[in-house]
Amino acid sequence: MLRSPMKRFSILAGCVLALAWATTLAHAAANAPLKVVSLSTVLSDLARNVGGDKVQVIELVKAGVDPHEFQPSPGDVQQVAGADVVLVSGKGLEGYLSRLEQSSGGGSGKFVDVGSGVGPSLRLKEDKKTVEDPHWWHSIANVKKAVGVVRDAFGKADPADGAAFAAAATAYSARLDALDKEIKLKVAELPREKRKLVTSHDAFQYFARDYGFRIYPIEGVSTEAQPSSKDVAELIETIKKQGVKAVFFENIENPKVVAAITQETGAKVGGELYADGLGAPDSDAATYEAMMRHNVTTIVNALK
Amino acid sequence: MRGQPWLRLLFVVLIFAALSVPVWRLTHPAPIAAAATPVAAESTPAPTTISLEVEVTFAGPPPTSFQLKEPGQTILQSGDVSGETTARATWHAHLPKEGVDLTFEAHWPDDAEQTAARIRVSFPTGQTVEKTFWARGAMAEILTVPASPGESPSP
Repeated sequence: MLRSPMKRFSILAGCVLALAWATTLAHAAANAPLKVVSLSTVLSDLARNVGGDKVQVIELVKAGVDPHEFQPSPGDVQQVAGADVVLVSGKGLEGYLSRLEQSSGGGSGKFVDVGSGVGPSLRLKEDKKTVEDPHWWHSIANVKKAVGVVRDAFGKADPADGAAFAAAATAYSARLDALDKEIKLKVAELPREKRKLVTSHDAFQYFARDYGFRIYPIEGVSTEAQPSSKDVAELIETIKKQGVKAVFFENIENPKVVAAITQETGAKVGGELYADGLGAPDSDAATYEAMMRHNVTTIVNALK
Repeated sequence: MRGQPWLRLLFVVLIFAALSVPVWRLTHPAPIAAAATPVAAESTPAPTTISLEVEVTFAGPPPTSFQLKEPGQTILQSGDVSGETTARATWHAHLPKEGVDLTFEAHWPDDAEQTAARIRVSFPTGQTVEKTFWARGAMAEILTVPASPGESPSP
């Protein structure tokens, strides 16, 4: 019986406390950052720039890891299962994607194929087959579209912060416009007839399209395909005929093939390029903007 | 023992001697510098040298400083403005089949209104390549001049 004033007071206090706790927990849940899993270092950077402190980005593919050869671990599958949004590079880069979707429990639409939203793929010939070029991030125009895809995905998962995501995306797109102009001016320092790029694997076709280069790759679109000795010999002849001054290796690849080619042709080693993702956090290519600046500066300075 | 052991030995030595030459060639490639025949660089047509008239026209007050250049050479710069709003020069251009990128940079006072600059390159045939750029305060733009007007520069 609730006749005792103390008892009534205790019950009332308990109810108030319970209500306060429930409100606090609900508020915390509503303000919890969006859990975003990224399958690419470039997408991780885009996510941070668009999401800010409203997202928690978990990188499955980290700097220095070859995305062509990455395979998710059981721990990665668990991360994906608990994510609100999973950012996928697409265009055939993640060969493990369907397995990851199945083993993580599918997904209520949380897998976002960013690459499908950046426009048509370049298609390249490799081993007598036509393959899709997955390296779309080397075009700033593509990345600007990717920013829009990420913004929309975050806004759908967290409508309350939609305005913040939109504002951040607009600001970041303005920075990308400035970066594009900066790159065009840097490239203009290099005579157009010298814009010939020999790289470890065929990852720079989008860059070549946007900035007027011609690419001579040692390997094909994927780093898994090794060049034959015939391919290397043909490339050496091409380098000599075209008068290419420098050959570039990549941060993930073994530079020995590049070194062997430079010995045969007299071309110098132009430097390291970042092809399949960003550099380590302490490198000069830790963000997308820094990576693009590093690549274009290395290329232009070596080919001048 | 039957047969002639020394003959058999001689036969084996001769076989190994005969095999040694191709094995040596397979395992010891010829030095590149001394033996390799250098491949002649592809005989691309020499860049066309042509005199082109270049004109920069400003829509409003001319900038406090400007420069129009190709890689390695300045074509027009501050101080070349004749009259108030136009600068002209003759550009002795080497035009490869890929074309040439001209870079134009200009600076106006920070409080200047938005303004425009037109870059025009005239070929001896009378054809022109031109572009107009808009900016406020500072401008940095590129105009690609093809080897022939009416052509798109090749990659």
